[in-house]
Parts: sequence; C-alpha cells; structure tokens
Amino acid sequence: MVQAVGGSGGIGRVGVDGSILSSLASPETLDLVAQMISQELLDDAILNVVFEVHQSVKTGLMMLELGSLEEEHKFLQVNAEGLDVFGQAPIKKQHECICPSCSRNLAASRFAPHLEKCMGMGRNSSRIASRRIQNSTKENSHNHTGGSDDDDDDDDWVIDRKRKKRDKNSPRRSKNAKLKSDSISSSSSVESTLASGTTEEKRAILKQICGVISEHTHKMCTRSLRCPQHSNEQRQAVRDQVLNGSGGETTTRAADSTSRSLGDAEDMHVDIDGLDDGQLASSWDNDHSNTTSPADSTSTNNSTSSLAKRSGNKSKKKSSSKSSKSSSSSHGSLLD
Amino acid sequence: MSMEGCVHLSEFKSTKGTQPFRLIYSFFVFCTSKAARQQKAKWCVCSVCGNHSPRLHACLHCVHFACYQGHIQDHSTSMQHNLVVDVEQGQILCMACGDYVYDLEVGRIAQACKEKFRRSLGLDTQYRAWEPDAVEMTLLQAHPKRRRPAANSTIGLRGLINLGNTCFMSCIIQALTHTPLLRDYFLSDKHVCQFNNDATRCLVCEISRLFQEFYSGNKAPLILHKLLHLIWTHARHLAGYEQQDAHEFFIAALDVLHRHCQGNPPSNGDSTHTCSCIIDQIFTGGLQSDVVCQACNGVSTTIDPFWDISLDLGPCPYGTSKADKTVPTSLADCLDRFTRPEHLGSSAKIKCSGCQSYQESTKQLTMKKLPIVCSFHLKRFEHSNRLHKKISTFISFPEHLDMTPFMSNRRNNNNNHNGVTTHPTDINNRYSLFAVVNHVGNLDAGHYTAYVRQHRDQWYKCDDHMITRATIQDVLQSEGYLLFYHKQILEYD
Repeated sequence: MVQAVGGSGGIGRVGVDGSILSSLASPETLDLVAQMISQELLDDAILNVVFEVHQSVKTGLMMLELGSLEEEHKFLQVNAEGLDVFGQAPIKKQHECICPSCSRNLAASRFAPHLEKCMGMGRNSSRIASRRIQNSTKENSHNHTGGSDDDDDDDDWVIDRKRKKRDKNSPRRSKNAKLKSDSISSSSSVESTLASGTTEEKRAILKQICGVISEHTHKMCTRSLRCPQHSNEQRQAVRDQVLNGSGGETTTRAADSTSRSLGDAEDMHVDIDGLDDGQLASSWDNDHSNTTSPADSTSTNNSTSSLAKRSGNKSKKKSSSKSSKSSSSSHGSLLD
Repeated sequence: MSMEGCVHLSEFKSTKGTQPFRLIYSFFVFCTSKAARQQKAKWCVCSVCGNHSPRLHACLHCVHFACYQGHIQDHSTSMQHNLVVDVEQGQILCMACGDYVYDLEVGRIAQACKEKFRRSLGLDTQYRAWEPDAVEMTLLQAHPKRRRPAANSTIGLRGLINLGNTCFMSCIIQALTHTPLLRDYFLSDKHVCQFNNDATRCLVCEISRLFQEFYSGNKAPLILHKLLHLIWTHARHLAGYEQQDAHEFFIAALDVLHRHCQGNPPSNGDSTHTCSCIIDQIFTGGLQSDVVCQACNGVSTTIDPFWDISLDLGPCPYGTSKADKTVPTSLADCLDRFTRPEHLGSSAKIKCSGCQSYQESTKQLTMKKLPIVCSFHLKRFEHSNRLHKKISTFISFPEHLDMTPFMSNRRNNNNNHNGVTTHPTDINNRYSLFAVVNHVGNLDAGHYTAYVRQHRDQWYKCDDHMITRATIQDVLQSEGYLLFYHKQILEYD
C-alpha cells in the first residue's frame, strides 16, 4: 500500500568523501545540494504521516476511532428572535434541586440564599446562633417579652444587610431587604388572623396559599394552591382542621411560620431556613399568655417606623425602650 | 484490531527473538550514540547503486543495505530474506506479504530507541498521536457511536440556572468551560482524584462532570447547586450569599481547584516552586518585580506567581508625569501603565541591600513567564476614601494580543535605551481572546453576563440560562470586566 510513495529519485549523486566541500564551491552545485537536502527532509516528513495513517488503517485502529457518526441534526443551533441557540424560549418552568447540605427539595432560584443559612455561613450565621442561645437562656428564666426580641433581631438584620450592600457591589439586595421589613407588618396580620381571626378571614388566607403542614418541618406551605408538592387531599385536610378549630397547637405554629415566610411569598416558596422550631413554639406560647401580642406591637413599630418619628410621643406608651430603639434604627436604614 | 505483524514476522521473532530488532534500531535506524551515527553514515548506502536514497532498507536476516528502487527487492528474492526494515522510519516491510507490517512488541522497541535517539541529540519529546490502551480499545469497540460537533452544533453550550444572584458564578463557569486547554484536559479524562472520585468532596471531579454535561448534547439548563455548595465548603472566606464579585469568585475557584488537584507534589528539581497541577500549568504566570534604589541604582528582583492581572482604570492618584495623568483607554494602555516603573514615594522608604540604608526607590512589574491563559481584571469597582463607584469608561481590548512589549527582558531594555526598539515579536507571546465577563448595572444593582468563544471563531452570549449567538463586534464593543486570553501556540515539554 505504501509502495505508491516513490521518494525523490533522480537527484544527483554526491560522494561521501571530501568532494562535498569542493563541490560546494560552485553556486549551481550548492543549489543542487540544498535542494536535495530539502527534498529529502520533505520526503521524510511526508513518509512519516503516510506510515502513521497506514499503520492505523492496517491495525484497524482507524476504523475503531472513526466509529459511526451520530446524527448531527439533533444538535443544530437555532437562530431565531426571542429564542436561545437551543430553540428554547426563556424558561417559565421552575427548576428544583436538592440541597446537598440538608437534602431538602427546593426551588433552584432560591438555592443560594437557602444554602447560606443552611451551611451556617455568612455574617448572619453568628447572629442566628446567638439568637438561639439567647432564646434558650430566656426560656429558662421565664421573664422576657416574647417575640418582640426576635423581631428586633430581624430588624437589625435588615439594616445590616443594607449596610453590607453598600460595602460590596451586591446588586438587588435593597429590594429583598425592603420586602422583608414590609412583610413583617403584613404577615403579622395573617398570623393573628389564623390564630384568632374569624373563620371568614381564615378562609380568605387559605384561598391564596397551599397551607399543608410539613411532617418534617411542621411549617405551613406558602406556595400557590396548585403547589405540586402536596395533594389536594392534604390541602383539604388542613382546611378542615383550621376552619373547624380543631388544629390547636399545630395550627398556631403553622400560622406563625406562615407569617414569617410570607416575606418571600412573592416567590411562592417557603423560607424555612432562618427559623427554629423550639424558638417559635416558645415565642408563640408567650404571645398567648400576653393579652396584647408583642408580635403585633413590634410589627406596628416596623410598619410605621417613619410615621412613629413624626407622631413622636403620641405613639403607644407601652412600647418598650427596646422597640423604640428598633424603630429609630429602622428609620435610619430608610434614610440610607 | 491486530497487534501482531504477520506470520512471517512472528516466525522470525520466535526463532531469533527480538535482539536483531534492538541492534538494528539502535545502530542503524535511531542511532543512540555518536559512534552509531558515524557507523550509519558510513554503512547505510545502497550496496548496489551506492546511493543514500531513496528509502534505504536494511535486511533483517543478514547485513545488507539496499534502496527501495528495486535493489532491496532483488536481494529479498534472491536470498529468500523476506523481512527488511526502513532505516529512516523504522517500519518493517515483509516481502512475502508485500506490505509493511506492524507488530506491537517490535513497535515498542523502536519507540524506546527513538526516544533515546532524540535525547542523545538534545531534542524535546516528539508529539505522538493518542494510542488507546487495551481498556480504551474495548471501550471504543463497545461504543461505536462517535460525536463530531459541527460548527453550528449546540454541543459544548449549556445554560446555567441562576440560583439567586449567582450570575457571578455562572459567568466564571462559562469562561472556565470554554478554556480550550482545560476542556481538552477534562474531556480526555486526565484528572486523577485524591478523594476516591467522591464528587461530593472534590471540586475538580465536579468540574469534570460539568464538562461531561456541557458536551452531552442535553439542551436543558444546568443547575450548579452542588458546585456552589462545594466552593462554599472549601472557600469559607467567601462568606456565602453576599459574595457577588465574579473576580473574587474566579480566584477562589482556581484556588480550590488547585488544592484539589495536588495529586503530584511540586516537582523536586524545580527551583521556581511551580506546581504541576493543571490549574498551575494553565493559569500561573510569573511576575517580576524590580525595586531600584534611587541612591545606588541597586536592583532587587523577585518573581511572584500570578493567576490574573488586575489593571487600574482611573487616573493615577499620585503620578506627576504627563503619562500618569492620562486615563487609559485600551488594554494596551492599562498594561503599559502596569509595567511602568513606579516611584514609591518618600514616605515608603525601603532598605536597600546595596547601601544598607533606607532609601527611596522605584518599583517596576514585568512579565517574567506568561501563563497559557492570561486573565485580566479591569478594576471597574473603585473603593477609596469612602467613595464607592463603578468606572464605566470604555476600554478597548483586541481580539489578538501580543504580550511581547510587557515581558521582563523587553521592558527593561526599553528603559535603558529609552527609544522604540523594533524587536521581532515573539510568536510565543501571542494570545487570542476566548472569554469576556461583563458587569451591567451599577454597584447597587447589577448583573453579570459572559461572552465565550466556541468552535474556534464563533461567539455566544451567556446570560444565565439564555445562550444566544453573538458577533466578535458585540464582544469587542462590550464594557469588559474580566478578559480571558489563550496562548495561540503551545510548546510541548
């Protein structure tokens, strides 16, 4: 097969001995020798490739490597307005993923904020931890003002996040933070409604959210009514329970979690991360023991923080020094 | 696939062993010593016509050299010596079969001699095409389907789902997965894991898996939650969700990859403490820093490794000369400023080893060793004097970049002669753009996108899960935050 390659025959003969040097004297022979050498190098290089191909054909390696080609039309690019190269329109479908840290199934678009808390990372982790310690000590001493502390912390948290945003080039943080603080006021009404509201009000809330209480987290699902994670039977069961008033403790706990997670209700996903079961239960119990819910008063402070400054001393006398501090600080954050 | 040459060759081997091959290869084909080369020059001529060419062959049965123009054939038929070997290429020709034959064992002997031959002449290792081993051979046989991505194929492209402000990660992953040499490394399955291939612990395995995903032909966007988890686990300083800077993420990702790659400890003979891992092979360059004492002109030189070059964009804060006042408008301007001698000022006196006293000095940075992938970071985010702003000035950057003017040898020469010298540009210093990361928006609200090159000269815009076609003009007109350049020519070593 290789025999077809002829090589560069017919090039002049040059003796091996001293005649080389003498023959180099004339330009013609010099040219001839140079040409001969370059020809030989070229032949060599070509022959190298020829042998390589010949070997791979002869040993069968070439056929093995070539194989059979896959159909290419499956992978052709699409070049159309509004579509990506795969021919797909911008996705509407929610992608889900399983957190490698806690194995929970959650929406991919909410994964990063979840993971931060799940791994106990970032600047909030120490805050959450200290809150936990604070709460457990309070539980022992039995003389604290309940949920207001908790919400104070939340308030602090909001400010800190905003401050952080200025330091770092963190986009889209302000919206998130605002939403959080606003939601506390709106959510607390949901909380109280589900706890003590009329059946009509409860029904109105359950018309908006799925509401099924998770077995693992004991929290209420705040996704839409068509949430794929829970069945219609489950939803019906919750409605029976809540509306018939037989829910008891479970309901109030669920309501509590609902109120907190409604901050993210726009995304229709449960923000279950920053919460601690024990802590919730304890704060809720305290709320019950008080006639005026501390959660309510704090939320008032939050929602009217800017107003509170204007109305000055006319605001409720009973708001502790702590809550007024929180209102002024949240005011500061708004100015920022 | 046949590993044996032919019956005649097998017969020859069984009666005479492999010693004749060893002798002929090391003396007459790939001469392993100077003496052998002299012998070859003397003896390797056609015994009939006295020529060195064409295609001289040696008989395996007796000492006989003849050319391919009939003379070796004549010898073979008259003597019944079937096997001859080409003295330049080393291939064995079987006259009985009428073709060149390939035997695995003989091939190995030839290869060993050839390597010895090149070493004896001080030549580098020669490029050799990939040859599958026994395992790979069976794999190839079991999976006959081959994929050859055409220029307009979607293979190699994949959208990435935003996990909640994680566009900083998506754009870096897009840049990494389109780094030609990194792609070749992972697609040829070179990574040897030090965590027993536990993809939940090894970031390199996860990147390797990503490459498989990118080239799988799947069109659905990828969810990088495992990757994010791994990076946050191994680079705690990133402090989670608030980390938003693509450049910081890029450096952190390289650092984790580098730590997970350290299968081979730094090679012992190397004085430059370079690591042989793929990350260092591709991304690490050497930056030379020359501090010149203003009193005695003594130079103290240090060389530091770098993964990227951060370039200032605003006007020079304490420059006095005219050149310092001008604001850079191109990548070349930025690099010029980066490699310019900088007066360290009277407040920062450095102890000079020459005059043993604290003296004012100048400092100059130059490129000692260029990495295969050169990444430039345009410092668009300015944080100084409680003033935080984004510099959005247009900085032009070329599609092809020549780094020769910024090399240590070149730059220092220029200082001495103070004139435009016309050095020939070294072809090894030429780079091509292959990825650009852009930041749109301002400090408070922004988004990262990336342009990547695929199929040699096609560009794509990656905006999270949306991958769309782009032109080189789009890329060169974009603002540019991180610029990734790949060497045009690679040397084997």
